[in-house]
Amino acid sequence: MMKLLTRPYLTPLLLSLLISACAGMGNQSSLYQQLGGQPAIDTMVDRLIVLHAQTPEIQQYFEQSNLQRFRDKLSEFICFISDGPCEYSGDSMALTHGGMYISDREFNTGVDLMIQAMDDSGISLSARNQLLARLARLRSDIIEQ
Amino acid sequence: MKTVLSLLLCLVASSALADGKLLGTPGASTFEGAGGGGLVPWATISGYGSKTEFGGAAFYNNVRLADFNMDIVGAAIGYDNRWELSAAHQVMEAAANGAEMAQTVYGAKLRLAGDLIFTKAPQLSVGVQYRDLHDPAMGFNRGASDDNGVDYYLAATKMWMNGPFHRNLLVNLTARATKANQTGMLGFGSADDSGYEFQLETSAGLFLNRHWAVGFEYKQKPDRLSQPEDDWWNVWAVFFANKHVSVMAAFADLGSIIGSDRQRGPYISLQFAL
Repeated sequence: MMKLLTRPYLTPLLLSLLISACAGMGNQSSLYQQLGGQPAIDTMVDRLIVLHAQTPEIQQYFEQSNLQRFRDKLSEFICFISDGPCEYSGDSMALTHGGMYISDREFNTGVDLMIQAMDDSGISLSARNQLLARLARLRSDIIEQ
Repeated sequence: MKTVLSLLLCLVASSALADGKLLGTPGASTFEGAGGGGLVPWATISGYGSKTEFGGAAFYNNVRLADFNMDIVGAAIGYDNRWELSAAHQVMEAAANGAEMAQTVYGAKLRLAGDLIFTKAPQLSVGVQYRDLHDPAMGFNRGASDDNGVDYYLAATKMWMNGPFHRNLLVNLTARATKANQTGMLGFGSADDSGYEFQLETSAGLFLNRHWAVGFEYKQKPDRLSQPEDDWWNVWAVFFANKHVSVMAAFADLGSIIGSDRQRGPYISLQFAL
């Protein structure tokens, strides 16, 4: 290592690598911040509820549910899953979707509406894809239960 | 061919439009009719049908090379996001003398396992393609031994939602067993070698946003006739206007074709999907 550092062209290279690595760390804001924090998440959830209501195949699942609770818990869940300052106090995904027998098609329609809601709320494409990738892991808890 | 098209029209006419897949995820229509990129079939099933639904795609592709023009029309039907039947009619015409090579490719694909996006493992499908060359003289004159052939392939395709630059990344790898010379346009096998050859094909694409994706493809090909043939590649950009209309524009390099080197040029594909 010492021998390497004596080579004049290597020292600046190593230094710049070190500096850029540190600079990169400083720039990494949480997904929660990238989404736009709680105000943007709330806007998105409100928009999603409107889109759900306009889509009969999704709306049928909300006929018996408490929309205010859905709104609060979903906001909290997205805050939690995006590393925001929240603890999720709702039920597990498996429990909330159990007995609904949500089909492949309905699940994908739900994802479409989620994308639309994020788009309409001005959430950036990069934050959108990061959130979708995290939510996608929950699919097996949601579908065909 | 006509049967496939009229079946597709019936699907259009039926009121239950399938839109159970995410925009762009069924891919485009390959020059052989199967769902995939432009040159390489993917493990995806054509059309937007998900479980227990029908879907499908009809397409027109045109490849304009230095010395040849290639027109392709075709269609594919998907069912249950598991089965795909396809047909494509390809005509390649030499600009110099109007000589034509034409064939019809019938394909079937079965998704074995996995989901493009939602499983850790890639979506995995097997496919079979029967190719029927209409006028085998050009192939036979160059040493081909047969005017029809069957290809088998295994395709693995995976999409990561949060890929590089936080964009959706799609990667595909296809292994094919084939006897086709110039994908069948010059017949199948040769006098001293009529066995199968294993070839690898790959595609990769990045969704820049919901509607636009860019990528490249590479397709290995056998080379056993008197005039050499090359591997094919292209770079492409596709625009998915919605779940029914998409346009792909590519630059394709098809190498040497019956003695004419450096056959490259624009590749355009229009697709109507359900």
